[in-house]
This record gives sequence, structure tokens and C-alpha cells, in this order.
Amino acid sequence: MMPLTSLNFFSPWLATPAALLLGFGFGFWLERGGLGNARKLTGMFYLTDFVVVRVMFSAVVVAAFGLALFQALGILDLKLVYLPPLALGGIIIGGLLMGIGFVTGGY
Amino acid sequence: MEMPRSNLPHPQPLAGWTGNPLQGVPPPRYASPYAAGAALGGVLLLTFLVMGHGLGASGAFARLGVALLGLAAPAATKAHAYFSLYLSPDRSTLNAWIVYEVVGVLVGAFVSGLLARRLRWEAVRSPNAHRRLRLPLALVGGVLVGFAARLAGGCTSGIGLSGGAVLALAGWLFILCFFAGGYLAAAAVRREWQ
Repeated sequence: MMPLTSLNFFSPWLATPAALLLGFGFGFWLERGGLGNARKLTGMFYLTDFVVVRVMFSAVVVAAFGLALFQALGILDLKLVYLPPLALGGIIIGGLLMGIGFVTGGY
Repeated sequence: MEMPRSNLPHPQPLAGWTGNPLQGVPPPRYASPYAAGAALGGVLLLTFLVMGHGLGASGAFARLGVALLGLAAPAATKAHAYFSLYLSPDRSTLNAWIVYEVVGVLVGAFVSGLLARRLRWEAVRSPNAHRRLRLPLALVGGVLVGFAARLAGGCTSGIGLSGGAVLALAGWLFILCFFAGGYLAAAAVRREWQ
């Protein structure tokens, strides 16, 4: 059963190359989609460029369907997948400040 | 016999020639946001399947901050209730999954920009905005985003994207508040971008 980290053969040493490779893919596709450009990123808040919404929601939909599929096929145990805790105050104030900082700084 | 004369303007081979064979060729456009998003979703899914958690970013910067604090004031960092959470007796603060992941992000984005010939030294901003406006605002925004990420327990990647993909309530509430905050503040900094 996945995730691989729950299996015995996955030593902590394998996590480092996995981190580098997965991070490479993350950065590569973010830039490819235009999310390396602060004007494109902030365009969403001026209704001029919706690239953030298009890229991010496509990613969320693909990943969420994939997770559900692998769970249904019995390949993945979703109970072992990390869920961010719902710390209400931190999420609400942090989210608002994140939005304010994002449109101010551009990233 | 006279050669047929072309009506095209005579080429000027040396005017403005920099030696770059791709000079004057427009850089490729960005990929379709849906294609890039789907590929990104694939990487995120793979991360969940391999690691059991999603992709993030802010944790690496928190660790960098704690590591620097640890160099400047080791005793105070060890005694601090929050900073000490990032310390471990058997490994360095920077020897963490998220730090390697963010190094990969930097390399991946650099390679994509290189392949698409988008590499330039610039402070991206509206042509109406001066660097003297853009750079201090970048600092203010960076401080706010860093503080907000520690409050929420992650940034737009760690909580928004990864939390959204596992349909965590925290993720979707964060996305909602993120958009609310951005739209609230957008008018104040419009001149920086538009």
C-alpha cells in the first residue's frame, strides 16, 4: 500500500532524491504555466489574468481525482496521507494576511 | 544574364547583431494553463503517493530563518518555544525534505525559463511603477507572506494547493481567505502592477 514512505524498503535516504526530483517538476511546471511572473500572478486580483486560478485548480482537480482513484483501486491508503489541521484562527488570519502580502509583494 | 531582383528590403546583417543566433526570434509563449496545471497536478499526486504529503515552500524559509538564528544566538533559539520545534538533536535544521524540495523548485523553474528563453534580470512590475516602489513593496509583501505562512501552518502551496487536493477544510478555508485578503488589498497597490 502506498504512500511509499510507509513501506519498509523506503529508507530516509531515498527521500532526498525524491524531494529534489518532485521539487524540480513542481518548479518546472509552475514556470511553464506562467506562475513565475509576478504580473501574471497578481493579474487575478485586477481581473486581467486568471492564470493562477486556471493552473492551480487544474492541478487540484487532477491530484484530487488521482488520490480518489488510487484509494478506490486499493493502491493508496488515504489514512496515511497528511491532512493540514484546521486551526481556525491561524487559517483565517493567516489566509487573509497571505492574500494581502501576495498582492503587495507579487509572489 | 541579370539576376532577378528581390522586392524585399536589403538585409542588414551587422546592424544590432549580438552574436546570438536566436536574436529577434520571439520567446515561446507560456504553456496552456490547463496543460501546465494538469502536469502540476500529476507531480502533486506523485508526491502524495511517494511521500504521503504534498508540496510546500514556506517551511524551507522557516528552516533557513531558524538555522540563521541558531548561528547568531544558539542558546536563545534552543530555549524559544516555537523556533525550537525546528531543531533536532541528530540532524541539521536545513537537512529536511522541504529544503531539498525547494532547491528542486528553484532548479526546475530556472531550467524551464532557460528552455523558454525567459531568463532576464528584472524587477517584474507595471511599466508605470518605479523600482523604488516595487522593491520596498516586495520586502513588505515578503514579510507579510512569511508571517502569514507560520500562522496558517503553510503557504499557498502547502495549505492551499496540497490541502485543497486532499479536500481538507483547512485548505479550502485558506484559499477563500487568501482571495479575500488579495482583493481587499489590491486597490491599494494597483499602480505597482497595472
